[in-house]
Amino acid sequence: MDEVTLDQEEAFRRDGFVAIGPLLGADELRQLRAAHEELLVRWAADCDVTVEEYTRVVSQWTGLWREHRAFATHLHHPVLARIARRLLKADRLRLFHDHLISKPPRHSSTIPWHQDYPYWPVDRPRALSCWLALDDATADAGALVFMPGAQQEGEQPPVDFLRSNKDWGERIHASRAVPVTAGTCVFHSCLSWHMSPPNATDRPRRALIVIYMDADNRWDPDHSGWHPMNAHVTVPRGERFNDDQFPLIALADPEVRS
Amino acid sequence: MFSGTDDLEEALSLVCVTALGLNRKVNSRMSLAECAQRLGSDEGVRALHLLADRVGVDRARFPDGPALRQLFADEAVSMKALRLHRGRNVYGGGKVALWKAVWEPLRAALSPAGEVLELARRLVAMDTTTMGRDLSACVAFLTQQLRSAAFDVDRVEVAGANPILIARRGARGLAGRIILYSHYDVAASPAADWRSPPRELIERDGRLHGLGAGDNKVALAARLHFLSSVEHTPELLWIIQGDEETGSAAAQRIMPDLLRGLTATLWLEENGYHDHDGTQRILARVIGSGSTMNLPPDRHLWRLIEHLGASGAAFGVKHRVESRGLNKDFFAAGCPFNRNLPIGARYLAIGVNDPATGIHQPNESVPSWTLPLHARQLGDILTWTDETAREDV
Repeated sequence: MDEVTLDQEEAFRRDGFVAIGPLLGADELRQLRAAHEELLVRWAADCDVTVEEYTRVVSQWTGLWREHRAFATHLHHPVLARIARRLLKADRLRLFHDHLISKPPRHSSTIPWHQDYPYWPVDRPRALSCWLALDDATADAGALVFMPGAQQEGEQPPVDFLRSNKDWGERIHASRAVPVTAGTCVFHSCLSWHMSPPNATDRPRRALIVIYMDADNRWDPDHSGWHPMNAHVTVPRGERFNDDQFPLIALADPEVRS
Repeated sequence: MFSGTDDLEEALSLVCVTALGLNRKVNSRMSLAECAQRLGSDEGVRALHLLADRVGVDRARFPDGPALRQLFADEAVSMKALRLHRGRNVYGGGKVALWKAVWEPLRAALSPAGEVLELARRLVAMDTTTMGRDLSACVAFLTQQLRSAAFDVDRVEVAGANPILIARRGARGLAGRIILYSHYDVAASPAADWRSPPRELIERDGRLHGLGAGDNKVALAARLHFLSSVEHTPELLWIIQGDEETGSAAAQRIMPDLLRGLTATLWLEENGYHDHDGTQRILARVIGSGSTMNLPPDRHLWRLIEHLGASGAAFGVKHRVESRGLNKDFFAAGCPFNRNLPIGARYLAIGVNDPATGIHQPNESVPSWTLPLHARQLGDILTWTDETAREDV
């Protein structure tokens, strides 16, 4: 059975996003959540505060694959990687970075409309995010909201998250919330326009995101301002990213539908 | 996704120096930790509330001491988490919360009005250097702006020179008359020596950069916007010439006749300066004759200086007074405005520049924080003019 249907491929091309799944089972999700909780204890201690104090403030982490084996294994999840390759229509995939975003109950807020790519030191928008819900992301728990098709309008200047005032006008009615159950993945283009409301429930809403890019993308620090991944680049500008910090993704099946 | 928060430190530094009256040069950019130490203390919270009172912001909009300290503590955790394990604070706490709690209530009071920036941007964009291609466009733009502010505008054409604009507006509810002087031409400066395109008004490091920003397009924009938007004004006469940077040939010819016999409650110079630490340099004098051209302020001018000083104090700056004219003697004939002031005229020079402005130099700039203070002091001048004119009668 195909892991991604032609309809889903077409939806991704047209809308800039598609939700597929659940793709991960309960055991896999439990392992990832436990790994995160283990790291939280360590990180809170690093900052000399309790886990409660820490999670009230810090809610997003980058580069988890370097911190815990469970996340390193997840990068190469064969189903997710194969779907990403199909949607991106790339011969080879490379990790740009992974990150985990938590929207804890009572301590989250709206993430305004934005595209991801304008913040990245990458030479071309050949990348997508695989946004895995570790908890149910219902509409009231901060599910992602997309503006279908807006990715086709290309890259726009980066949004200042402190002063964002993106105004879609009447078009806002076309925006689409994408609630998903735990284990489901939302694949979205790096040029998709998306936002998320606060988590208004009493439940956690965690998402593990792996950003897959075309392995031939080049490092272009002039494309964006400061980005934490720049610190891990060891190649000259204009070159393909270094494999040690931006690993190639293992793929069981090299065939690409084009 | 990573947010742009580069200007938070700049904004909080501005709040710190304004609230606590700190040296603006030394403290122009403080770290968040320094801002936390200063604003999070009991003294800092008190100073923040007093600043709010002085600039007309409801102090209830600010968090109390413990809440403010918590915000700074949260941000300290954020910064540590980012440094140690790439953890980030993306919701509510940290930088966003500090921005909303401390800066947003004060933003309108402490930063330049958007309309002033837009006017300044348009003026800087025009090439009004000697023989510049936009001199005519600038004259047309200023004429249109002045007319839309209900000024009657005469263009005095002198052969071989740029037009001089004489703008008049009758009294609007206030007694007295103010005569203002400005110019729309600028001195050239090689573009290659600039860090940013000279004809783009760029806000960087708390300053507005652009060719002619300090001499004197930003002050011109600030006054144009202020006089367009304020409801009550005395009678106004505004002389705006276009050859100041090349010796003012036309103005030298027409100014004696133009100013002869004119009286005014105040003669307002094109611009003025602050010291590096923020102290305002108020140039105030009464015009004498012969060797006693610069007489000290009379009692009316001293009252105005007190008002200006009080406004400066609201912005955390001191002031000092010098009885002289603005130094503009780049040409032997001097400034035609200064040279033709009538005996007994009350002269004032205040403005938006500081020693780092560097007029006629590459990267000419104006400190942004001076603009809201200048607007407030223009208001002081209007009120004082009314009071003084009524007393003079």
